[in-house]
Amino acid sequence: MGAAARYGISLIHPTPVTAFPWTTLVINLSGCLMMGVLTVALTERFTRAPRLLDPALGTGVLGGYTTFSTFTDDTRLLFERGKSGEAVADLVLTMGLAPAAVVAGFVLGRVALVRPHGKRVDGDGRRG
Amino acid sequence: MAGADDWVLILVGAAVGAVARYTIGAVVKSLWQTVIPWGTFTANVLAALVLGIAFQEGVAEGSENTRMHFLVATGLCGALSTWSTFAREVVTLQQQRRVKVAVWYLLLTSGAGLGASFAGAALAQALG
Repeated sequence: MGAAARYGISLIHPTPVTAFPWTTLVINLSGCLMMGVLTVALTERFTRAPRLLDPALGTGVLGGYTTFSTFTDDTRLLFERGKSGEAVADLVLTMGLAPAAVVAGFVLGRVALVRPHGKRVDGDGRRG
Repeated sequence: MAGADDWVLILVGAAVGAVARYTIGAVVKSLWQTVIPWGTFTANVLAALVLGIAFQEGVAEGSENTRMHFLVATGLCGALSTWSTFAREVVTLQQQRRVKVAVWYLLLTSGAGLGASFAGAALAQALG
C-alpha cells in the first residue's frame, strides 16, 4: 500500500532524470513525519492498540512508502551525470531532514493526540 | 504509465520487500545484539545494491517501464529499503544520549548504501 502510494505520487509528480530528485525527498520526509506521529500515537496515546500495529503500519505501510534505495540511486545518477553539487545537496538534505522530520512528527503527535499536563486519554476513550 | 497488472507487480514486490526487511531485522537482532540496528542497515544496503544492478539494466534496455522494473525496483527494493524506520532509529539513539552512535549509524548507512548503488551499477555494466 505504501509502495503503491509512492508510485502514485511519482506519477503525479515525476522528476525528470536530469533534475534534482525532489519527489523522493518529499516522499521520504513526509514518511518520516508520519513515522514520528505513529510512534507517539502507539506509545503514548493508543497504548492498548494491538502490538501488531507497529510492524503493520510502521514497517509495512510507511516502510513501503519511504525508500532508501531510490535515494541512493538518485544520488548516484546525479554523481554520474557530473552534478556533484546537487548529489551532495541531496545527501545532506535527506540525511539532515529525515531525523528532523521524525522529531517534528513526535511534536505534532503529542500536540494533536496527547493531552497537555500529562493528562492522557487512553485507548478506549476514557479519560485517565 | 502502469497498467493494472503493473500495480499488482508493485504490490507483490513491496509485500515481499517489507516482509523480507522485517525478517532480516528479526534474524539479525537475534544473532547480534548491538546498539546499532544492523538489520535495517543490511536491508537498506542490500536494496541499494539490487536497485543499482536493476536500474543500470533498465537504462541499458532503454526502458524504465518494464515489468521487471515495477516488480524489483519500485516494489521490492522500495519496500525492502526504508527511511522512516532508519530515521526513527537515529532519533531513538540520540534520545538515549548515544549521539555519536546515531551520527555514525546515519553516515555509515548512507555511505555504504551509496557505495552499494555504485557497486551494483558497475557489476551490471561488467556483466553485460
